[in-house]
Amino acid sequence: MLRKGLILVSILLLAVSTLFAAGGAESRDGSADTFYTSRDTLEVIVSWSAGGGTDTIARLMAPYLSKHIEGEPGVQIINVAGGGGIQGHNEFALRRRPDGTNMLFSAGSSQIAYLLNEPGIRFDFRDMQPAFGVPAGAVIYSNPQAGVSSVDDLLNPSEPIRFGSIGVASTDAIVLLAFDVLGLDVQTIFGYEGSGAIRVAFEQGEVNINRDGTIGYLGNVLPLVEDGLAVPLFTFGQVRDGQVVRDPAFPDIPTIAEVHERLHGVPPSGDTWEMFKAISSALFTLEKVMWFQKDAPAEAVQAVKDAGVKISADPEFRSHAQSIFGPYELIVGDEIESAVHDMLSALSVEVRNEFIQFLVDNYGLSPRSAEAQQ
Amino acid sequence: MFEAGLEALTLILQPARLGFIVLGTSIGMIVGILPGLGGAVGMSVVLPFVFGMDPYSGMALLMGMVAVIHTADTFPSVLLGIPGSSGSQATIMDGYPLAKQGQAARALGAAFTSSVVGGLFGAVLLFATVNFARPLVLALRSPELFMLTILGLSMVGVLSRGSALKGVLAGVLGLLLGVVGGAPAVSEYRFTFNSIYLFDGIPLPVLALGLFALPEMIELLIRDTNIAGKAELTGSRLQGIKDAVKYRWLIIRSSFIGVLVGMVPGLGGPVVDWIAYGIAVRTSKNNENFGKGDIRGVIAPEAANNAKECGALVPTMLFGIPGSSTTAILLGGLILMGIEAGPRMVSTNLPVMLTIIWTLAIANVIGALLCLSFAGLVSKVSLIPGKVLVPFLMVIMVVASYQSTRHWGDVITFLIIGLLGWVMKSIDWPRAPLIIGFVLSTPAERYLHLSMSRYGFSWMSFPIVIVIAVIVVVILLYGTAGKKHKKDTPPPGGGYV
Repeated sequence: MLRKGLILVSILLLAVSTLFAAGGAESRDGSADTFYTSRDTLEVIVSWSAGGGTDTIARLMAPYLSKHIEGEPGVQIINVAGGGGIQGHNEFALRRRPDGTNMLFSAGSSQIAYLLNEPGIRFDFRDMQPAFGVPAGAVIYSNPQAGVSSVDDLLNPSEPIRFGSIGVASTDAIVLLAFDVLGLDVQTIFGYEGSGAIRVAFEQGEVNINRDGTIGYLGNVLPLVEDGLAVPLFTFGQVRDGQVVRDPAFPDIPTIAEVHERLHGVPPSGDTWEMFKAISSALFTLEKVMWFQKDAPAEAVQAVKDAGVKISADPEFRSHAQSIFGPYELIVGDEIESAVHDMLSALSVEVRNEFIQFLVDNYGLSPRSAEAQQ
Repeated sequence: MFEAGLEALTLILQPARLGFIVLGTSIGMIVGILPGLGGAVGMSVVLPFVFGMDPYSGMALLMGMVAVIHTADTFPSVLLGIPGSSGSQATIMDGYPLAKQGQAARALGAAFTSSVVGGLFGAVLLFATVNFARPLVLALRSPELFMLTILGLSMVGVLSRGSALKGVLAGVLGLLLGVVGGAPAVSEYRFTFNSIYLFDGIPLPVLALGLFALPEMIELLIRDTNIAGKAELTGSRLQGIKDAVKYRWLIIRSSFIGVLVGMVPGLGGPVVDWIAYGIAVRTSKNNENFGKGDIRGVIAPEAANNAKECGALVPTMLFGIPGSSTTAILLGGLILMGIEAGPRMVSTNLPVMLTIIWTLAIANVIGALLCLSFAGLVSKVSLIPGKVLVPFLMVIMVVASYQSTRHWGDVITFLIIGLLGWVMKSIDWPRAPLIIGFVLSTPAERYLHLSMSRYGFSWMSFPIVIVIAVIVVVILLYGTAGKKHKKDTPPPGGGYV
């Protein structure tokens, strides 16, 4: 009995030590010639629980970051979940010291919360500086057995077009805007639990048009497409220098701009289109961004930016990344600076207010102003 | 299919992978034993190490842990009256009274035997149904899911021993508490008082700990004794195992319930133990001892919660819908190993799916053996004087509730809910209906809203909806009118729900 007990205790100790092994953050001394040393720990806040999409990508990147940042600091993912991502962002902005040891990994769902000025937001991306970004894509597809079997059915479907959404204050908001751009008559059913539940509703015919991100599409929808149970309609494309170009993950699927031209004979234009492009670039072209605070040491930011360039070229990372976020190039170096700058200037308070008004008028978003931060 | 199953077994039987199962099982044991720590904590500890492993080994590690958490979490539930994780609350109802009678070892023996049988039965059932589980899940649209939540809520009547009215009121209180946080269908936050902590609602682990654990601690201090109330323990593990064999059909029935409830996406995974418990009470002969230390009250929930983990793999693996925070992390782990859950799990990725099922089965056996071998020793905890035990447990519980979201709000919520639990215990109100109401509150609202906005009123004529409605009515009548009232005072309002 005693021996068994000893064995259990040693197993316990082993497991507990694994628990805490990763936790020992040390204060940095900064005496070396690189900003970071291998004794430093760089903490990356992920505002969602472990296992989610953003967390998974952050965990994929962590070892590569550690390897490519000069001085090879430890890189640790900290999950601060709550309030749909707002909690972790607030903690980063308000309570984490801008000393180069803290970073934030934002994602589409916190970026839309910021755009819509959701309650509880105490952070501002304008008070941060980016180190690198991760793009993503979105595909809209339909259920051919429930009334929409091609793009040409969109204006005259044999059944009402129904779209399932988790809620208006989510990244679904841009899908609603996309329907508006194309002039589609779509009934939106709010309240689904998540993208998995909506896919089930889609297969059931409860809804017949749906949106998925690149990875969700490749894993869950492509098998349906192969079986004739789903048809890809269009992608949101990627916004490059103000133009919507085809998504590198889906070179064969037309973009929303092409579909507009096909349905209405002219390319999309006007205020709504400009608004769509601005928001699309904020939610997809820059789907995830690694941030420092504005006051973080320039050497630290530079070190991580340099690491981003090296990671992007690391063949091992590229083969890993392919299966996790698709065939996209990281947005690194000077490109991220200008991409974020363009994004924030395109998303002026007027544009954001206009977007909020669109959602308030049509989809019951509670009225608010983009201006009133804090 | 059988050939593929054997092939998967040879994949998993390699020494290194078996080693990962044992490692995962050991970590799962610790996580399960520590009160309030659920599978999510264990998963996030292990997740970083999965990175770069081959899918079979990685799954061996992750699933090994998932499989045994609901075996090991029985220790605190039985010995201390504290839910070891949200899946073992119902075990408290009879397990803790048994410990109070000095029969902790017996209760644990029965619990672990039921756990392993439940887990194995679940794995077999999963193997048998994995190929046609997709159409099964696809048959459940929003209206059917809404009716299933109503079916779950009707268990409130069954679980409120004594007074149906008190039970219903407790259930309604649970529904109300479940409303706190972001609304499922509109962009509004309810009863959050501008605190971001409440945006996501009250965390279930905190609610369960506060409701059940804190009142027990207070009572233990008031009685100023040890849990067993005496100096010696009676009852042995062997006796417990014999009990489990005697009630083998109850185990099979409860496992079946566990797998079925687990398969339904987005529903009452966390209340499966209560449902199995309620059905055991309702369908057993001589049921007056339930709640006072009936061994069947330990067997039913323990079989069900292990079986549920197998059923829950259907929505997780075939549809990519995580049924719990544990399975959410499992999905992340899969992605890190380069596999996306979805329809391909039963075609291209079938070997991975089958090794997962094997891992579940093997880990269940290892976990139960480990637990059984320590049950005798650990059951002596119930001889430790409360004055010594309680401060230690209080620290563990506060830390456990704090880690739920790492927000100070957890500690405050824990204390407030604990006070509520203590009051309810003192005035003899059933607490199980509150948990059921709480867990099913959001799904009930969500699926009703979805049904109405998609189908108007026409969903009420769907065949499955009508069938479930009939079952609900039968349960309500049978669960209240057919009940023998043991109490001297008849329940107010005639006892009808």
